Amino acid sequence: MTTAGHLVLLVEDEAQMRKFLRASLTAHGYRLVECVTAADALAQATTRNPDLIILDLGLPDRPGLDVIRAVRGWSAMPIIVISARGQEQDKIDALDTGADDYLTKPFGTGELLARLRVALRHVERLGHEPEPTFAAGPLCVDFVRRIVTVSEQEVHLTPIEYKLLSTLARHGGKVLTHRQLLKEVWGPTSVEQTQYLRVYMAQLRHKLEVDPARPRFLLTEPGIGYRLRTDP
Amino acid sequence: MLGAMTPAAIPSHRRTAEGVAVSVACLAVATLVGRLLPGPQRLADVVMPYLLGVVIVSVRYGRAVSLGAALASVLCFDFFFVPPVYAFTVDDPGHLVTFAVMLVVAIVISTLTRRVRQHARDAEQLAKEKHDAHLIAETEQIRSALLSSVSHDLRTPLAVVTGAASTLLDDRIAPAVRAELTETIMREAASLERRLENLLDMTRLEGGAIRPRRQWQPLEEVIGIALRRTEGALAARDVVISLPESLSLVPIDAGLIEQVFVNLLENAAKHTPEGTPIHVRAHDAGGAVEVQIDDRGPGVALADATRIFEKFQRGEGEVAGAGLGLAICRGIVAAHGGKIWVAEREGGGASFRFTIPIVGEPPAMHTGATAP
Repeated sequence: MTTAGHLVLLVEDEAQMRKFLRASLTAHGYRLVECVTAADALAQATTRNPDLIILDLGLPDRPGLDVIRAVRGWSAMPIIVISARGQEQDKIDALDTGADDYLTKPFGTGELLARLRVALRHVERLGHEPEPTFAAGPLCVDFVRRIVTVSEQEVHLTPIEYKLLSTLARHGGKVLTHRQLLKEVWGPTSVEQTQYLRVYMAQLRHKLEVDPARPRFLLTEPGIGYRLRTDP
Repeated sequence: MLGAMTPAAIPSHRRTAEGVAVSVACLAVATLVGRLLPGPQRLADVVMPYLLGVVIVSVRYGRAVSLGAALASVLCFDFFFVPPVYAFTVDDPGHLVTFAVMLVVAIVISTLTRRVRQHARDAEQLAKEKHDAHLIAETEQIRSALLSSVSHDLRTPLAVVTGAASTLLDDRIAPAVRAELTETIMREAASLERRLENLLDMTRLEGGAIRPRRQWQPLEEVIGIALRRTEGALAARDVVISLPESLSLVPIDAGLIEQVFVNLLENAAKHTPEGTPIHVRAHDAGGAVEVQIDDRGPGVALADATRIFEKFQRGEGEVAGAGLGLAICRGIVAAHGGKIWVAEREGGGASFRFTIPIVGEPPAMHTGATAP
């Protein structure tokens, strides 16, 4: 997949942050539109129609959440939010409102570029036939035959375990919040029952991971949710 | 005696008036008792209620009121009982001794009482001053320790970052060295971030701003996050995790307990020789889960076993860190109602242990999942 030419809208009010993001993004072939306020971000998002938005949640004029809500009113373009540590609820709100992923300050460019790739890949698949399989290292999920293998050995999963794993696999590499996973796997009435999720995640790890305390595939995003790694 | 009830706190004229009223009441009662005594009145018996009245008044009120009460008692006693009755004249000079004794009793008791009261007040004042002085000294000590450790801990990585970055500006630096310097900058910046985070945590813990939001969590997941966060520090270590299968959910604030694991693991990495193993274990300890992090380092001297959990206590020869890590652990564990301590490990090394009480019932898990 090539990233050349993708237009990124960077919404960040701190000049130093913009400087380093500009340096690494342009070095990797992205084109950039920069702005510092939510109002400007919305104007640029409609007129320039970027491929992806990088949005700092702490903007001077309006909450970043407003931008996500407004953009989601007319576009599915990937939005990656940036916020400080300790603002877990802001991140959860952003993700549940429709942001695709998040980065916690301070972060390295390697992490940022990986998130961009995952988000752009997901949007490119939109409208196409869903992939029949998911593969990440030795882990393989066959969505058609509903079979899970690790190093070509079939692993038996309960229906809920399979649903949980396949949900994460369909969004491979992307963070899913507790609420999103609970809604998808257990239904809309169970979105507060995070202990279900934790227990089934522990069971899945014991079946799929070599060392469940050091998961290679099923990563915990502390306080936010889970992510299935695509490059273990 | 406290607050508004202290004698000093009541206006003196009001106390005097009260004293006079009590004196009059005592006199009336004593006189009545004397008159009601059955049989022929013996003066030695009659004088006792008067004496008692004088004692009561002397204990509670000032010297002037006590003396007044004594004099009035003498007069009443003389007037109502000493022959000739209903006259202030005295036949027997022996009665003058009784009068004198009553006066002396009044003086002695009121003096003693006043002295006792004064002593109590002085002692109270002294204790308060001592307490205040101690508090001030302690606050000062903490503040200066905080300042010195903050300035040292934050400046050291900053100095390295500044130095490395300015070196990078030099064109003559070889690419390999550039990469190395850049990595140094990243590493030091990360350590700066961790130290700042520790300081903020400590401040929030002490300010009572951190209240654990407990949820039923698998300990394994929390340990997993802590292991990921300490990957760098534990790179050359063999970290063994042994958790019993039966130990499924514990009621914890995952973010906080994760910090306890991170601090204990970093602590073990810092104080034990590179390459030595670390063992993380947990077991059911009846109403609580006991977690232990064992190392094969030099261990902790018995004398230091409590001290190391205090703020700003650094290990011997320790250079980095503000000495907050273990204090934060203690704060977090205490907020969960548990205990943290260090024990000697059998076969050498330290064993850091903490408990998490199991509060409430774990949630029911009937969501249709059946094992295949």
